[in-house]
Amino acid sequence: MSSIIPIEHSLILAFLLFFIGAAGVLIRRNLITVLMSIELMLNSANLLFVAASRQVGNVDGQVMMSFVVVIAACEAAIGLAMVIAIFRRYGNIKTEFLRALRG
Amino acid sequence: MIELGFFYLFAVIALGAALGVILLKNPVAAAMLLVVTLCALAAEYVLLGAEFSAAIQVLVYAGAIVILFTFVIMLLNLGQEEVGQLMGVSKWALLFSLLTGAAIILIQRLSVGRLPEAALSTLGSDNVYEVGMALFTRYLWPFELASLLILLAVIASIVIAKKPTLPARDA
Repeated sequence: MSSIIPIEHSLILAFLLFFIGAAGVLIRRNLITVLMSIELMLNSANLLFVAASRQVGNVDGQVMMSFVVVIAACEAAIGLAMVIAIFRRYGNIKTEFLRALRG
Repeated sequence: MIELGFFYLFAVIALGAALGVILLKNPVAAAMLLVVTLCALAAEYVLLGAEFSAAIQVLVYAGAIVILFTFVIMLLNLGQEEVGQLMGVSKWALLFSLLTGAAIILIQRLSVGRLPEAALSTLGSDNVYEVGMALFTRYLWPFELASLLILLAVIASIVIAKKPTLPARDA
């Protein structure tokens, strides 16, 4: 590629995405939306990996990105299975009903 | 220069769709906007010269994970009223997260000049070949462990999502 995108742009985009994901985890009460926000945060990490891979000049970051995708798939599968189990037990998936571990 | 313009275009698309994901009340619309975010990020990967990453982003994320989300939303039959509004402490949480984001961006802006220069010359043109070579030589052992991890996750999610054996507590 002829012109290069400065890594600062990717960093700012990744930080903003991570911030949006963290805000989603904090402000939403729906468990599915919380899981989607976690996916957003994992994606910002992926963007950082790819941008760093381009900056450093080898493909290790892209390999790490594929591992992060694997872990995100596992997290989504187990998280959604837990959502189904919680829905069976409590009848809805709002986070304020999950108080079993509160002391 | 035109690549930078496309970078900004897809960045705006990704950020706007991400805001829609966390703010919309309809979970199906949020899942579809998540697809938009992931595809815009795939476009960013292409602009960053990582075509393999863009491909697995579209295939695995937009193709599989979001479908899983949509399946669960349909399975639980969540209407709009089921989703619920923002939390009662949302003002404080929003303020906290805004401050956190501002602090992170400030720190990042302060460290702009100290990043290393880009070393583009060592990246070849055949991105898929290089990623594949790295994945099956240097990273072979983590690659096999990742497949084991996926197998474990499949078994665990089946076990978790089974019919419960405990009697349901009335809550």
